[in-house]
Amino acid sequence: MRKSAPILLLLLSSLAATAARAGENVLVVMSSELAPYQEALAGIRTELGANVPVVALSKETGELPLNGQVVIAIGGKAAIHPYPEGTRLIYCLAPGLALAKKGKAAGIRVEVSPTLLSMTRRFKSIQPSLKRLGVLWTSDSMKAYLDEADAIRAELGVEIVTYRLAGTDELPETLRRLQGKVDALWLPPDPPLISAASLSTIKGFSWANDVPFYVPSDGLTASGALASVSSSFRDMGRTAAKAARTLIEGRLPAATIFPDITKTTFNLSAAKELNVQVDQGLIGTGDQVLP
Amino acid sequence: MKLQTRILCLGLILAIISGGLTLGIAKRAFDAILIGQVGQIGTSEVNNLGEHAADGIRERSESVLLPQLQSAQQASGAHDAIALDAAGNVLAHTEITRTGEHYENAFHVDVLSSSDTVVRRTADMLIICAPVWEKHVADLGEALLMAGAPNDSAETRIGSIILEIPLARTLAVSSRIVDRLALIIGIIGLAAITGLVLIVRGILRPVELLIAGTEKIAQGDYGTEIRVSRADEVGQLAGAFNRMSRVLAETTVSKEFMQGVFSNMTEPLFVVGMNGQISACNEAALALVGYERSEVLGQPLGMVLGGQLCSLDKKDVMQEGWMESVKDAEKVLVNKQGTRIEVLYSAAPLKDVQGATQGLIVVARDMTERKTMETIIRRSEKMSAVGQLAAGVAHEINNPLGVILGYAQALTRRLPSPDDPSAVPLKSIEKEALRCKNLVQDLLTFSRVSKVEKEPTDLNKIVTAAISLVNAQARMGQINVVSKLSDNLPHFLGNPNQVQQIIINLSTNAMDAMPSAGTLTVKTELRDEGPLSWVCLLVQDNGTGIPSDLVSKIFEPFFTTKPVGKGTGLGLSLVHEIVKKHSGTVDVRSEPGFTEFCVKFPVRFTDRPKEAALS
Repeated sequence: MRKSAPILLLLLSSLAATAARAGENVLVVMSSELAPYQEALAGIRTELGANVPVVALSKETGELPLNGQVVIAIGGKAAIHPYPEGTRLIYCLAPGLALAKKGKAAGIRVEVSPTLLSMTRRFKSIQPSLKRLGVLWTSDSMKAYLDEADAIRAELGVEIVTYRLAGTDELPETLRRLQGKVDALWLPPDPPLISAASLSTIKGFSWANDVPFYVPSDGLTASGALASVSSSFRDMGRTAAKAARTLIEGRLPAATIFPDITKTTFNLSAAKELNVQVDQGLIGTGDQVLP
Repeated sequence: MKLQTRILCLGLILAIISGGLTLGIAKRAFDAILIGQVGQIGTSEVNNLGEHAADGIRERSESVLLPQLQSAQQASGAHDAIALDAAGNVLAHTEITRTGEHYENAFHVDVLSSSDTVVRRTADMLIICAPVWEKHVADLGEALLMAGAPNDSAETRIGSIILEIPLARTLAVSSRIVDRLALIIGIIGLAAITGLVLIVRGILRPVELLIAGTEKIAQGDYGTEIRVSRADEVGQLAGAFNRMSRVLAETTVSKEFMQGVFSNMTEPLFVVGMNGQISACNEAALALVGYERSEVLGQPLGMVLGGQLCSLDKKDVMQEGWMESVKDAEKVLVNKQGTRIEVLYSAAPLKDVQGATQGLIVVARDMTERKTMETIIRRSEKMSAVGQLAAGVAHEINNPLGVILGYAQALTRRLPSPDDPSAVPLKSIEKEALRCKNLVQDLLTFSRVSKVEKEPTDLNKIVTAAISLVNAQARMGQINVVSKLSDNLPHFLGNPNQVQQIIINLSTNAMDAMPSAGTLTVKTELRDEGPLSWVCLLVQDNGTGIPSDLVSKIFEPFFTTKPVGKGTGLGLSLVHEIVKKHSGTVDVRSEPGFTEFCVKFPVRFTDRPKEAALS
């Protein structure tokens, strides 16, 4: 014990020093100081230390104090900010935004939701009879989710039935076409589709035809979805911080990174309307349960 | 059922019925109000929607209509919102899979054909339909779109908007209100019933007291009063009850009292109805006739009494003169055991307050004991008279006899020789004088009323001595004398000489009754009868017996059936007198071939152990 204590102290101080060094090489740029962004920042600080410099675009009007650091942009506005050439950029909490590559700058996107595979795994546990999962999408950024369709079919036996919509005007007709062809719908974090009207239309279709639908945010669960499987803002920030450290270490992470921690919210009244019997033990594992 | 319970039940039933009716009416009223409210909101919403959705209808654009329908659906809480064209085709439906349907059923045709906003209610849905109109305004060069009722004939109907508002939530709200109302009514009803119970109890409490008091009076407890401190009608009733109770106590003899008198009468009493049957009788009457009450009641009086009173069965007697009063008529009845009982029969008609004859009251007094006592008294008086006479005669005769006997004996001694011719006469004079002397002695014994000296006496010892005296005479008459003496026989207070006289007299009589041989048995035994123990002497013979008509006379002085000169008629009288002086009894039981005299002497210390008595 006497021998191991100094070693442990040395290890901890080494880790702290590494984190401090990484923190010094990162600049966090926030679109504003909204609560979700603050939560994501907390995740970053968990990973890189409390001293990581932060700039909020809603307050900062001058030039950003950039000196070759890795930029972690939180929010869409921060993501599309005109950073200097060669800035290594990682952006999160910018759903539907897919930045084009600019020179050597790495536009690494941190997705809002976990991978479709991990989410489908969860859908399957909620709805064991799930064979065909319909996915409606509009934005290019959603393609990354669909890359796992083969893996999902292979691992879970669930076919991903995708329909890309040009606009929400097509939503009713698309849903009518999906009638009888899917066992459930997943609404990806695709901003054009996430509207009160769309959700209302989907809910109407879902409840009338007993086709459950899943949403990408716990806040949307109350709109009539059976459940939401999502990541927390904190996890998104933490995932972005991990990617920043990878860049600082000289390695290049994947262009799109998915948060690895999921949280589930159940809507019991929707389950009742949809005639879905969700296992009580499973409900017990939910992070939130709406009555 | 008690009045209190009845009122409570009635109140409860009324409360339930009125509560149920109230709740039913309230439910209908709440439903109507709330559904009306929903209808108003829905109508407003559908009219508003109609104006906004008119463009979409004209353009037949689902994408335009759907958000508006969804908005209206959300605002009104509708299950569905539908936009239709003038032909009933669904242009947009919040349930998108129903878009393109054609509404052609009667209900929808009726609703869609109305030119004004229509509100229809189904079991669980409120359907509100508003027409959408288009009016071309030439001045403006464009068409105006309107919803609701048409303003003029220039308007053209281009479609309809329907809102289907579910009533489940509205009805649930109504039910919740009614539930609350039911709870309130229930609490109020409970309080009302509790109050009613208390009021009823307050009213009925004096009545209950009156009932209890009446029951007490019914049981003969006259004078019972109840305490009711009220001045209303109930209080007046209680006061009247108390007055009645006091009057009854002062004027009425209770049935219980009368029953006690009737039952405890020592005289046998029968009550006979007009049908000649016994309707009641007391304990003494049952003891007289020996029957159970159940065997007597309802039976004809004559049949129960029997004997000389059996004629009471005859109907003619019952009808004519039977009901007349009879007083102290000596009659003989026969009881259940067949024993003839002399009774003093009295009868009187039983009359009610109006004097109408209701039956007959019969008293049959048992005269057996009285007759026995009369016999005893007569015998005693006779004995007393005979005793006094005997004492006087004996006293007067005794002295001359002494002189005669003395001179006869003196002359006999002075005779020169036994063969002297005067010897026989003198001997005869002496012999007869001695016989007279013995007779006088018996008379003196008979008359000596209070000169008996008593001492603890052993009856067995006296019997043994007496038998030794009579044995010689018995042997002469070829009579076998048997003695059966009881062991452990206690002593009694008696005069041994007189007791021995009893044994000798009874034995002599017995032997006289067996002229040609027989057996004389003398027994002693101890009997417990009543509170006393008795030492008994039994003298039995198997002689000729005593005729039954003579049994009552055998103890009378100078009564004898023996030839003249053989008996004085004083033997059994003497026995009777001696026994009487010893506070004992003598009974005779006789039939041809067997006679038994039983003499009993009381032993005064029956509560002591026999061993102690023996000592």
